[in-house]
Amino acid sequence: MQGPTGKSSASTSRRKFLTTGTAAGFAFAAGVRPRPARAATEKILFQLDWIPFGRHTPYYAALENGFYSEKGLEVTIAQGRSTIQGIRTLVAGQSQFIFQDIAVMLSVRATEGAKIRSLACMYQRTPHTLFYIKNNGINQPKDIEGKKIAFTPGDSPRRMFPAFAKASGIDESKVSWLSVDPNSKNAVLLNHQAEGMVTYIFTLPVLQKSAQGGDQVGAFVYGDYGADFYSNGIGAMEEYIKEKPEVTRNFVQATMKGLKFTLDHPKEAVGMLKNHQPQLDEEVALQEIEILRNISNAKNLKVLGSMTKEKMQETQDLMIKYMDLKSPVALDQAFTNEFLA
Amino acid sequence: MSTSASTGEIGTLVLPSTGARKSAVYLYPCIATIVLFIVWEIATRYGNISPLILPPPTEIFATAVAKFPVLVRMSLVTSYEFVLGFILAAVVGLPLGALIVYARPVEMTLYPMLVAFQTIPKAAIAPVFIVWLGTGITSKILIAFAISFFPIVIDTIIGLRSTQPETIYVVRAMGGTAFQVFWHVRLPNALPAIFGGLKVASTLAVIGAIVGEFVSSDSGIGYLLLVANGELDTRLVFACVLVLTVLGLVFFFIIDAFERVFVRWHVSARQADLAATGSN
Repeated sequence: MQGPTGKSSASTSRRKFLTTGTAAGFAFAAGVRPRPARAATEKILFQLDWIPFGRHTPYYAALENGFYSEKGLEVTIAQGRSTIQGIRTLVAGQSQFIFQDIAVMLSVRATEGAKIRSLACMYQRTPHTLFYIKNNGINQPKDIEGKKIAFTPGDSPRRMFPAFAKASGIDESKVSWLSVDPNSKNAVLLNHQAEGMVTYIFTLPVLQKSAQGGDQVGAFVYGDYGADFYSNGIGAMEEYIKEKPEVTRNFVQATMKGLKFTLDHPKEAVGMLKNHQPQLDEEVALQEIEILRNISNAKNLKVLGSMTKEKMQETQDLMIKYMDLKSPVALDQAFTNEFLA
Repeated sequence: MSTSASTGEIGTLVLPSTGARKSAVYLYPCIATIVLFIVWEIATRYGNISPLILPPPTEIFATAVAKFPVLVRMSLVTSYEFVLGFILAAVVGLPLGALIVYARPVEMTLYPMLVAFQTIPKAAIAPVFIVWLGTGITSKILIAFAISFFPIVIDTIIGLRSTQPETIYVVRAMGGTAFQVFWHVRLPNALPAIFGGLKVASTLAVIGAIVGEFVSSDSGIGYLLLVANGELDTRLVFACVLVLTVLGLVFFFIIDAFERVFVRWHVSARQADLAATGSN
């Protein structure tokens, strides 16, 4: 149907709709101004070391309990694929805080000059473990010679393996390595596609649960064989800490509060974990938290997560002795407890 | 209409001589690549970019030279994986495509299943392949096969179906058998499409081999890349990427060369045949 100007009424009404619609849209957008938050929220990306499991409950508990948001922190927890990948995100500025192995952060500081500072240590007892299937010819670490070990490139148990090997008498040149995607590592060991597998002791409950045909899973923990060092903790770049000390303090304390909550109320905390990671098994997660209780040395520490210079020195000495670390760093800059209390 | 050999005039249109045009095809991308590398070098040297994130090209080349023996050894493994995967894909895909064109029941059964299989992201089932077939070379060859055979099947079908029906009628009218129709009419007509499918498949086969290596491996360029990544050796990571690019390009151009030889041979053989039977 044509109007007086020759345009059909259909196109006029379409145009009318578009113009009024756009005008309404602009008006709406103009009216909806972001309400200024009471305190400016700081966006944080917290990069984990691995795929989230029960051992990562503290961080999800901190998130769900509002420990971060009450300090004005908008935290996103990102899953990881290895310590090195996590460190890379920190150096590239994609993440503000990382949860990674302190020994590796120290070695990266020493060899690459990346100014990463450790702010807290959760895994105070080395959780690095060489898993194997029992009754398969392996009774002590040295028996892994001539066999294949599954690892994920960049993970800290592989990086720290030389220390474990030298301390337990393994000839590294006789070991062959199989690179495996993080999600497939457990399967590779349980299907006997590799005789050994290196990861953290936290994986023991999952492995034992999924072992096939009556297989028993054995574990050689690095610390038990003389390779004891600080493992995972919170790290951040020195520049960032200098620029935002309050944010750093708030983040560290909120995170440690999450750890304390998890150790005091494990069942509740696991419930919160499952809001984010529903695929995880509750039983296994609770077992991992018990391992975490031991690894975090919670009973003996006055301040949860605090580090000592002695153990930092031991960590670095271990790397000098067994891993050929040529350029040790001044430890005072490498870590601090000041944000914990 | 006269065509001058030196200036290539066709009517009033003046084109550069064929010689200059041919070298331009190689020259332009080479210049563009060199410019890209120069810009990259300047950006990384003077732009405050950490070498952990993006190293300068000169350092990448230096690493490639320093690690040459390892890179060659690993390239052989990966090449073996994707070449075999590709050959398997061609050996299975080409006859399968032809079968689908010639046998309607086969088409009705297999075609939907093929499409469904293709939509499964291979990166997602690669871990399953590894569980079934182990962490050795076999699983990588099969992943390469699984990713690359669909384009071959599809392009074979399209090529074989794109013959003009009139040409087929003429051959049939002259008493040609179904096989003669296939060999003299359908197949030569389908070759451009088939080779298109093979070229696409060649690049996919490389991807398949690498995806397999990323899931689990103890050798190959994908393995080396992951290990280098895990040791923060970003220069070696990029050197591996460079090697993979070269491998992919070489493979692609080999298929391209095959195409030129094969098509010329087939078409001229066909024409010689027609001349011999006096139908020209």
